[in-house]
Amino acid sequence: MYTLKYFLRRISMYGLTLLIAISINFVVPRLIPGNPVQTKMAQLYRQGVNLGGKEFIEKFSRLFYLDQPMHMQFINYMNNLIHGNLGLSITYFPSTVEEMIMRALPWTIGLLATAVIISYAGGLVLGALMGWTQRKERGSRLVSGVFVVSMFLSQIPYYILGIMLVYLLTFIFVVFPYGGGVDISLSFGTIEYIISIIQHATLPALSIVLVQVGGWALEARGLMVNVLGEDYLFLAKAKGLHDKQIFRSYAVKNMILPSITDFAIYFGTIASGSIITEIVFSYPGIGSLMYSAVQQLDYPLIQGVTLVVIFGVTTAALIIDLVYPFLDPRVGEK
Amino acid sequence: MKTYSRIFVSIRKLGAIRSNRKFLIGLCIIVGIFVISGIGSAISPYHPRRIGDVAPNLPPSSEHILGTDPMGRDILTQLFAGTLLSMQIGFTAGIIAFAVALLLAMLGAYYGGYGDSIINVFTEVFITIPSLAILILIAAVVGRVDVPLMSVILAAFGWSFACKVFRAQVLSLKERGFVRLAKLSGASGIEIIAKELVPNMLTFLGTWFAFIVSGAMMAEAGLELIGLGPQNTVSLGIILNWSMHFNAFTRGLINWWLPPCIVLITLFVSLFVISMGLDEIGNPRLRKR
Repeated sequence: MYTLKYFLRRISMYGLTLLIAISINFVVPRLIPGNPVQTKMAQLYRQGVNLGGKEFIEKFSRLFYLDQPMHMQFINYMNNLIHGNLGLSITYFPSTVEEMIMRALPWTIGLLATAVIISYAGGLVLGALMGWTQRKERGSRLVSGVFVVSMFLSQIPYYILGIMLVYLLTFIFVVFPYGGGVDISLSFGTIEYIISIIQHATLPALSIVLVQVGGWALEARGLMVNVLGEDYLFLAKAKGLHDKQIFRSYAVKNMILPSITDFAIYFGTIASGSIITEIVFSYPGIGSLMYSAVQQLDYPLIQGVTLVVIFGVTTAALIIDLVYPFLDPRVGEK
Repeated sequence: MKTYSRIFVSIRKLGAIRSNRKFLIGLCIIVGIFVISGIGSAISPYHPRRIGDVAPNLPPSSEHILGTDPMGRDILTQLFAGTLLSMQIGFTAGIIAFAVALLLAMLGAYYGGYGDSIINVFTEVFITIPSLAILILIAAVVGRVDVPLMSVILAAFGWSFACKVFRAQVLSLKERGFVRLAKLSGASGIEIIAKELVPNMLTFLGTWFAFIVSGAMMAEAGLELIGLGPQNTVSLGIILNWSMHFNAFTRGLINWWLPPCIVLITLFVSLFVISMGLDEIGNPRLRKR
């Protein structure tokens, strides 16, 4: 259990993070001179799309409270946010921003969750083995080989690895399909449909996993080295337990716990990286939605997506911080 | 006595730097890439950006070593110019972010108090916020990003993690004997920071500088890849963006999209090797084999 102080501290940090992020989100689009809606309309008009001229601009400006003073705009903006109202998409009018995001979100969450879990588990095992075998004079060649390769892979950005994987496995060797999240000619819910989803997700997930494994492995090795210095390992050895048994039930168990907190720290980086990965693979998630919004200068949609990403990441971090003390009671009491 | 020991330590570290192969190799590659791109840019008879500068879609030949792109530009010239700009933006952003992180960490952790609490909270906030989402928002809204602005934007979201790590390091160093001794002998805070703390963190700071530059360049190339880079310039990310735009994959233009990827990977790996080398110099225990 944790003390009230810890709880309040976490909650207030969460609130502050959200407030700052929302403020940036609010202020940045208003920094450019002129009315963003008008700018967009002018752009569309040049392309031959006429959404209704002055009336439409006025309606839109009212919707975004652009005709009001700045502080009132902010209050209204916050009020709308609290009610989950992110406004209307300009490009996909009459769809609301919430609808667009809801359509994309399951893809992103599915892809990210799978990739992160696989890389976390893989990295943990690899790093633990690395730390464990290194305590002897001569470590295992295989383990350190894989470790070094994963370390170098972790320095390559997701999108570059993604580009290369796409080229190798969809153009040179046609193993996987390219683009989209599923073959849309298949009907929903059939086994082929599910297989198609997996086929489409494999490459983007692989590029995330390959890059991430190294980072997790490095963390895990550090944690394992720490655990190796603990007295209880010494005791376990003195008791005459087998190396394998010590590794599994003493060393790994004790290093898993602190590694969970890393999720809270790295979630932002992971989410950031996956935005561009999705774009490279034209995967139909949040990243691609953001990309198309940027291409179309669809400000409400850009803002909405940014906000959802920020909200998701900070909330995930908060949940980890609040759940963690239950797993490791030493933390919350300080 | 104090000065002696410090000079001795720096000489030993200098020796360690010279004999550390990882650091040297990494540094040589980075400097090498920079020099080659600089010379290549200077002596190339072609223009990196002018459309229709040469005949389009030529395969690699002795005249155009990497061929030409569909818009009639020499790809090798493009690559030289792009590498220079990518490195320029990455290092500028890296230096700014590094300076901010160091300043905030030193002032906050050394002096403590309310200032430290505020700095600490802001650091945590910036670590949690997914920076790329905000970078995309800013780049999209500003529209016409130029090179200095791009560096500043990247720096604004690149300092937080390093600041947290620096702060922890200062907090632990601050309680060590030599810092207390310096304090007792009447050295001012600035003096202690400049003469005692920073010299003792040099390799550590170097390691993190490499990380920060690497992070800035990753974010930079990512933004440019999706078309949010500075206009009217060419960088590695921008070349990748062009090649995606012209479907370089399906058209088999591997001589266009692969070289920037290779240069980027080489830069990232070299920076990583440099940081590994510096880490070994700073923590001799890592230097086993």
